[in-house]
Amino acid sequence: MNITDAGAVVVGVLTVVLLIFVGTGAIPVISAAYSFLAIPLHAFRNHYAKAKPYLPRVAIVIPAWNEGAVIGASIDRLMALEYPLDSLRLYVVDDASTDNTPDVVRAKAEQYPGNVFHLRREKGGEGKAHTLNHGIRLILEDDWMEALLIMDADVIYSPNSLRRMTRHLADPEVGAVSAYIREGSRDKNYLTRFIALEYVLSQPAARRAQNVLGAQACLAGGAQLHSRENLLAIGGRIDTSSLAEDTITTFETQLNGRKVVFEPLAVVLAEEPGSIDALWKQRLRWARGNVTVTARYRRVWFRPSRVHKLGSVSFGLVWFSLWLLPIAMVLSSIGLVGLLLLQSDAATVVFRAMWISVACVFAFTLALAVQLDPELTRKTWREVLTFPGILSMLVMLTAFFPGVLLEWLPSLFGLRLTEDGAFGVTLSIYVWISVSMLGAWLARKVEKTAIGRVLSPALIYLVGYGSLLCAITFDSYIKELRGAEAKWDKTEKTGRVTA
Amino acid sequence: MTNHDSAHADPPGDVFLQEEIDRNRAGEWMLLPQAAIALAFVGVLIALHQIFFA
Repeated sequence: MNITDAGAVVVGVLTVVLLIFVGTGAIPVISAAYSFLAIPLHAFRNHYAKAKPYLPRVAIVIPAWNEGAVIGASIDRLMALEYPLDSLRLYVVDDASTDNTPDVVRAKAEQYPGNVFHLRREKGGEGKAHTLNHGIRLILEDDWMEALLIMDADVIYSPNSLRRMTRHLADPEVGAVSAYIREGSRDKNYLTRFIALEYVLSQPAARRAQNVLGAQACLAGGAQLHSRENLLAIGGRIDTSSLAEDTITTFETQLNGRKVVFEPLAVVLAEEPGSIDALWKQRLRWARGNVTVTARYRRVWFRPSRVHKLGSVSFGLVWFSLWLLPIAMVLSSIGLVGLLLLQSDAATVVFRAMWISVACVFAFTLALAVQLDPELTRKTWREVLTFPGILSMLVMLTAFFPGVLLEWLPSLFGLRLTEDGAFGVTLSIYVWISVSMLGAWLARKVEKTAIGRVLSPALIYLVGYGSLLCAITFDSYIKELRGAEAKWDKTEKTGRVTA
Repeated sequence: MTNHDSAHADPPGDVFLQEEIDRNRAGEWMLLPQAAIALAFVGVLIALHQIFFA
């Protein structure tokens, strides 16, 4: 073999490796397409056929730390649920609050005797799971409770939501039911509008798909209903060893052979973070929790079982696509840039194939989301139009309609890109998917500065909300690799949620 | 039944609840035309691409 042949072999091998790198970026696209195309199948595969009018005795456990501003109204609203009062008990577990939470709850206990109970923990700050377990332990001491609802202090249940959840527990195969957590801040800003849209995509859309696929990834922390049997089967307590207690509870339920059902018509309003910093802390906690879950259930992934669907290929694909999305984005960029530098014709082909696929998936999911919650998406139309990020949309435009950005647009101004200019623009487009995460990181960094008020929202609209979430997931990798302390960090709530 | 001042409303009876389940179940069929509209939107994008930029 001469030097020329050896060089050709090296280039060939390198091209294949780089194509594989680009291909990793296609996996999340395929996974998202597969998931979202499963949504309409919920018309055939849903749990309503096995649901029945069923109103078990429900104990509601509410962890509360300094919730004095919201807890009173929350209790009043829960007492107004369309549910028999003699089958409803509220246990507010006061996690050593230092505000007026104990006074408010005690007053409500007097107002609703036999329905509202104040449980006080003198040693607080250990996290939500510890607080919940304090209440659950007392609730399980007698056999009154037939179903347990775990919720947050500040969320608002629509009056029919609880009975719409309990009807699924009429089927003994169901262990737990989750509701649709809908962003409900009355003074929405750009970020809460993005979160509102994200929740439409991740709940009435994606969780319907998970109903169809037969495996749910996570019960909503603010709205999870368990049958007593299920609660006892998973140990009668919530996991306290990680930051992902909701996901672990969801997995344990399914590993024990019980179904988890998502009820899209039980609507629960919740206040979500209004700043990038607060969102970053919340999602970092979730992302680091998911690292624990991924490691803990390493013997479950991609191992189909007759007991549950968590080991199915489709569920594994969905889980790992989300968890490893930032890595896929970076590898994809490396692959495209490598192919460009090798002057491979494959670069343009795979770039266009991938980004056209991304554009189609985004178009389908957003068009469907708009119809699944039209009331909310009317209020978030700006975020619907810019959800992938304005710059990412330009990249999609370049892939979908080649020539528009690099030829037609400059020609309007009598300009023509030079060869070097075209190379520079192409390079920028290929690395964009990774660079967008840096843009999101920058948005957080400048948020509290004088220009942050304008620059941070502008950056998020430019790079996309998805890139912000990916940047947070990337940060979770770094924190895990560094072995940074994983501590419970409560998301600050201010009582902005409104019915 | 516990009695106290609240805006509490007992749930409707079993007949209503069963009808609601049936209604909600039937409502899920709307997902099919909704998905069809979303697919049609994607179809328009692909058609534009094929006609003008393929």
